[in-house]
Amino acid sequence: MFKMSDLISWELTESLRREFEDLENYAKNQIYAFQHGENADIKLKRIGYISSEPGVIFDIENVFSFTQEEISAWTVMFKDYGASDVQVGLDSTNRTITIFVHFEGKKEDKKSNRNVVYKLLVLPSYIPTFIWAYLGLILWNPTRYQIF
Amino acid sequence: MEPNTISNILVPYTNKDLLQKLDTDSKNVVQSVVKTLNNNSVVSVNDLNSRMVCIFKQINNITFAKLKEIYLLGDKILKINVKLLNKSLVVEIKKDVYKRQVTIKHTRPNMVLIEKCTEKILKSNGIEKSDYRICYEIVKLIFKWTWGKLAANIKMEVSGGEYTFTVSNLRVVDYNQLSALDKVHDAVHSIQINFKRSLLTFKVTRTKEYINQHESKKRRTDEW
Repeated sequence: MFKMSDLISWELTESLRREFEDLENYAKNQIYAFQHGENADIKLKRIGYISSEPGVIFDIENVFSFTQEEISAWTVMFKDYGASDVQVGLDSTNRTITIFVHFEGKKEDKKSNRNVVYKLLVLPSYIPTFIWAYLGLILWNPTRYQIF
Repeated sequence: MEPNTISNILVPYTNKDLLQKLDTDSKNVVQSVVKTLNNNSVVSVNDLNSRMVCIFKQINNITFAKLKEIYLLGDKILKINVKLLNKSLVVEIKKDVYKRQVTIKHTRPNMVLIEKCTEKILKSNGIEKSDYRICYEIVKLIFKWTWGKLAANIKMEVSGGEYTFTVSNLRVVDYNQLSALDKVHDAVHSIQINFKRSLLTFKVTRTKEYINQHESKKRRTDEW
């Protein structure tokens, strides 16, 4: 008896598998925004992985009409989540939109470090200008401007 | 039944009028394809300017031999696509005003990476040394079909003197690809598509068994 093998050129680790599940849940939570008019019954399905690069393929079924804005919205949505590239394909015969999401996992650590640096740099801007002026005067002539 | 008409059961109501408007040649080809399939399939026809796209649904399974029969119906058959996930067979019929289609290849398969990954898959499956070469060529070929697209799943089961390959999660496969698979070696046989379970299955005779079969055949012909 032999096992089933995925024909993928990258390693599917357990953490990456979990990341893909989170991505799917995220996409499923966002779909309500696109369920209107003729597209009230659209469904999102994860159909598998991309063979050449880390990423997943989603199918959006029962799509009867779409606009350029809606397609762009899907792209922006996945890119905001952390996807490196998003490709959208249309199958008019089966009323399906296919989305290729190239995703290598969320890079949260890098993002949070950048946030800390930003917060530190932005902190002095909250101090009112007259305090900076007063500190300058103290440094210039401490005996005259020192209160205590 | 008249030769130029198509059975009412096979054609959905919406397509009846459309089929009557078609030219006799195209109608004959559709009729022949329906006869070849020989089951309760439903056909829908899209009559385009350059070609006619026939979508056959409700087919349980189809063999490569049947697809070959359809392909050999004549030069009017332009493309035969098997859409496994959509459970349909798409046959494109050429019209007289047909212009050659421009195909844009988005991704070129990275053969070095494909070969490396194929070796890894075969090692993890514990393929015997004697059967390694043929299994390598088959897995490499299927990997090439799906490169940059939906990753397929492959299962290799050995029973007696042959391997049974089961390929799932394959979105689409065309006649030329199946023909290439058939041409890999004589040992590859019984190529079949199961639409119900969206599977491509085929059998590969093990190398030792294949050599034994050929030797016994040779002996028989020598005796004659």
